[in-house]
Amino acid sequence: MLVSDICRTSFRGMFRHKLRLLLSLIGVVIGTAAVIASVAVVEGGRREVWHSLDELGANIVFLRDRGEINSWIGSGPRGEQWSSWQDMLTLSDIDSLKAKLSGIIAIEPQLIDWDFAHYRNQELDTEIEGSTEAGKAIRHLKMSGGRYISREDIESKAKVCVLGSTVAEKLFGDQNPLGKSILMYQSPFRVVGTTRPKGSLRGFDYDRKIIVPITTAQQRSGTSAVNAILIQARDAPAALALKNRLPEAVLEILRGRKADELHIFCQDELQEKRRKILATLKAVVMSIAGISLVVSGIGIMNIMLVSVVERTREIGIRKAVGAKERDIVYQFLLDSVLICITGGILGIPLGIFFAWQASRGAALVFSETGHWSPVFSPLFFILALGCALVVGILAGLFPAYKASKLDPADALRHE
Amino acid sequence: MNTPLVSIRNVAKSFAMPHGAQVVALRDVSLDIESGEFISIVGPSGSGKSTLLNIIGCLIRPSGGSYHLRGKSISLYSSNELADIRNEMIGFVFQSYNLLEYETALYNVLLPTIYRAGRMDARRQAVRSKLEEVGLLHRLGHLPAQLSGGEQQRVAIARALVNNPALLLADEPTGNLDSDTGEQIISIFERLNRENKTTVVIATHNRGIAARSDKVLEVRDGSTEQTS
Repeated sequence: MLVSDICRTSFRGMFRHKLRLLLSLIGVVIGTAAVIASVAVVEGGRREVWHSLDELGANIVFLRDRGEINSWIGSGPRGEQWSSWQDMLTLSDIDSLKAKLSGIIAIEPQLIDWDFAHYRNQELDTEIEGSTEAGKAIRHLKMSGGRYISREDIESKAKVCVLGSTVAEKLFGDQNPLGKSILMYQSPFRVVGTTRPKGSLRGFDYDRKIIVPITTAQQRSGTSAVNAILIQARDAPAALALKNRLPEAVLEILRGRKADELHIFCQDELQEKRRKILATLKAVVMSIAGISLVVSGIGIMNIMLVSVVERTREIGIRKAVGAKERDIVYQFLLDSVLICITGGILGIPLGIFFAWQASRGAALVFSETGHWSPVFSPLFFILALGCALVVGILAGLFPAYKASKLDPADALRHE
Repeated sequence: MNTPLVSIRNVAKSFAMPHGAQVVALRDVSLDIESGEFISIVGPSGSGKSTLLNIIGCLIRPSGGSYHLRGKSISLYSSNELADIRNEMIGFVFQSYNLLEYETALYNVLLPTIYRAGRMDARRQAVRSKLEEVGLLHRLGHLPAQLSGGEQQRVAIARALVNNPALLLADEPTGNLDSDTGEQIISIFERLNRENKTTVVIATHNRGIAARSDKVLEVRDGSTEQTS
């Protein structure tokens, strides 16, 4: 029996019972759509996480002095007495650090403190970062208005500031903060810029902070030290390599300090945790989608067995005129495969639709940035069609075998 | 002396029933069929005529005895080889026509050819030729439900002949037809036998039909006896 004859015979048989065909197709369509949607949504989530991490600094190494974290500088706004500065890096040490370590693209020294900021009757406790003009590029900060700290601000120790979006909203509400003055360190600081929301990650809130020129912060604190450094590496793996070399390089400069007094981290740990979570999620979601495809396959096997019974006399006729057992197997197997492949093809657009809808929901619930787009690839569609094909073959095998073993004389007598 | 086309010796056939009992359809049947003969197998209902025809047509294997087709024992053939024999050497016509009800007359006659391969245009030409032979070329696009009983049986005959078989077997071919239509069918068989030298074996309870054949075999209680 020629392939063309097998196909022609199957196509003719497939469309004979249209309602049965439709019901058989529905299971496969939904199963295929579920496979495509689950893979696309999880891949989209993975891409969103990487993008977020990159935006927030997956290639950034953070160094903070634990002495700074556990101590306070000078006296606070309510008269608390704090410990004095330990030996810390200064601005001039930053160049030494750059010379010791290769792979540094940019370096931002910071002097971080906490204080209350005031505007009229609004008050907010917030992180105050003394920073340099390099900070905007290193942290991928985007401005929603005005400008960032400039080299001139630093050289002139200007009392200017850039507000994070949370600070701007809480102090100014709907008003435009640009050009207005806020009170910090009992001094007025003019607002020269505001940043766009960036979100938060592992306690690193980029929006609840006020950025001032580092020299202004040092002057106010009476120190030339920096207590945090951001180092931009080429990419996440390079950041990890820098992180491992950084303690030794810093301790060479700060000879009196110990390694555990430095707090160095980059986003690699979080990346790894999220990678594992997403891999698990992908496996679970695909398993559920796969189960639905298997269930549809069982349904098709049931339909095929009914079809064998209904077509018993036809099988007898075919065998009587010369059909071999394998001809009958091919015919019924192809029936099952055709149903599944057709369902698989129809499931692709439905899967794309499901993926977009599920991604919208996932963005609302899980995404810190509110973005979550499904990712499609020809490989997913091939994978889904491949699954449908396998289901079709497995579902059709037993009914096809059963049909082929019918006795032709008995089959001809079947009503 | 020519080897008979069909040679059956002491063939028996039993069927197993669900509760373990055995039904004996044929006990001890022996016969020879020469090429070009027109033979009738007669007997009452339940005598074993259809069983004998099914054995001759390689649809079932005998429980005992031997069956030689063109000098070779069919016990040596696998089920797939028997399928090839049914396709190439044997044409079957049934009492209930056994056409595919969802397919046209054209496709029904085409059916044996799809298990023989060959170019589609050559096959379609053979189909048209056989339908013309039975006078139904104008009905090739009709479904069986759109044909009369006699026309359906003629389509079945065309299907049986499409591969130019050496042996044409007909099991009560006029059983569901009126006498006039039945006469048309038997005339077709006679013409095939006379003009094409097709060997024809008809199982029938109609003695009138049997009288028109070269040889009559009587089947009674599972055994045969040649009566003419």
